[in-house]
Amino acid sequence: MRFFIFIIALMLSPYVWAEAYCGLRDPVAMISKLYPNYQSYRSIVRTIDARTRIKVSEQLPGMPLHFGELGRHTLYVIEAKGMTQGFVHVRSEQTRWGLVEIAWAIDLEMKIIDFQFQRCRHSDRKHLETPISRSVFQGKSLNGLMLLYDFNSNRPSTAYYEQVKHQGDLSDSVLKCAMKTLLVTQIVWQKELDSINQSLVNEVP
Amino acid sequence: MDKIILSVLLCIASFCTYAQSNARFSFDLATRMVYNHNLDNVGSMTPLGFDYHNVISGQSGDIGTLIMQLYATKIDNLSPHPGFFSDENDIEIVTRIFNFNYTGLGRDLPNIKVGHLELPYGSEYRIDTNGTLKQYNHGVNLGPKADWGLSFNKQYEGYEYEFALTTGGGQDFTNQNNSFVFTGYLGVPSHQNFQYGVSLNKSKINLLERQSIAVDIAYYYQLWGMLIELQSGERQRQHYSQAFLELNRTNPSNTLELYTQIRYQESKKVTRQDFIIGTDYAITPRISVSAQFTRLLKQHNSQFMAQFRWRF
Repeated sequence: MRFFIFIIALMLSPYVWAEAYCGLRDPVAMISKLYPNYQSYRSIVRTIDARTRIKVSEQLPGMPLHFGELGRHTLYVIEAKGMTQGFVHVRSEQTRWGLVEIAWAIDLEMKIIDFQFQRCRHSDRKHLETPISRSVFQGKSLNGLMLLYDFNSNRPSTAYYEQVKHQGDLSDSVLKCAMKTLLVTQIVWQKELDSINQSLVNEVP
Repeated sequence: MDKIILSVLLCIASFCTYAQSNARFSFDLATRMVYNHNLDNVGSMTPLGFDYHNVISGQSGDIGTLIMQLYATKIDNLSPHPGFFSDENDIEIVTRIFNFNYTGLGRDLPNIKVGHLELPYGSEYRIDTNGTLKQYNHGVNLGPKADWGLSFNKQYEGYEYEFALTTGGGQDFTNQNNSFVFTGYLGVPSHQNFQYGVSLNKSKINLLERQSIAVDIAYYYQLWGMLIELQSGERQRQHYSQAFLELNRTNPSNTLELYTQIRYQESKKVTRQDFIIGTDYAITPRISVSAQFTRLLKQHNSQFMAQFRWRF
């Protein structure tokens, strides 16, 4: 009986990438766009698991991580001139026109610097790539982004649509993705973020 | 056998610190049924192996990526079968991708990949077809899909490239009859919705000489994808030209794909026209089923394949 439970658990467990790992590629072009002066980046791979999923659902109700988002994921630490410039994390979100993958640039204070679509086949893409739309996210922390979302009706607020100047499922997905990215990064990579921040404090004369 | 022992030891060593390392590890089991109409033959292939991926990092940045994929592969009554099997009932240790890509030379200098690598050529370069029924043109164009050797590769903001020189042995590590394969790819980054690139190949594998140039284009819009590959080349000094087209559609969650492919090749000796239709469905993130029907119009033959795959 235990054997069968083990087998079923293995079959249902989502922590394995569905495709072969040789298909994984670093988002080098995205990093180049988000940090034009970067010199190198360092990968930190950690597991987004069921505990992460529970924490996300507690703090962002109505916005659960889908099972395809679980598994081993990478946070890229961006370096230039011997200093950590920030981070890049890529998350995916489902839209009516397929999965959207967004590379988020995050500063050391866990605020959004900017974003780039790594994969987006949505016809509304151009509306979210305007300077006005991007500025809605730039400089925002998780709390700042949460103010743009109406958790009672489980959709972005009217103010968000007015600021981003677009209303549609892609703009909804980008906001959800931004919030999930900041929260997941802080939950899963907390230890590494603390270590980096501590090392920066120690470097200050 | 040495490479298996070494791989397993490396995996175990890395796995001991799995939670705090950059390693990804998965077992991979598939069983594939193949029906050949003209031979009225049903055969099967069952690979069981592991897939290991680890990014080695230093304090100031990533140093390189290690990928190891080894599969014990059993075939039963499979005819025709890949050349590295001795007959239609055999079991072999098959190396898929097995290399280290050194990325520590900085932002501008190329990465250096050493080991068993997928040959950079054509549409296949951009799309992972490792262990899937859906394939592109490597078998037809180059012979081996992956080979032992080294490559220089790099991704930039606006373009990416990889140039490889390999031994021509395919699964065999040793170089025989002065064989070699040179392949190269230069194109725009693979994440764009409109992609294009150019590929080169010059090779001599066991006295069979090939050279070719190919242009590939891919365009994605909403749930649709279209890939085109045009190729011109020589095989044993016989000129040929080839056109390949794929049209595919996925569902919004990207768990289901339907595709059709057409391959047309023309030369003095052989003309082939292949029509392929297939589907791939991921039941869970770990389990997928797929099926593919191939009609070889000039050879008046058909083939049907079905596969169950489980990564755990």
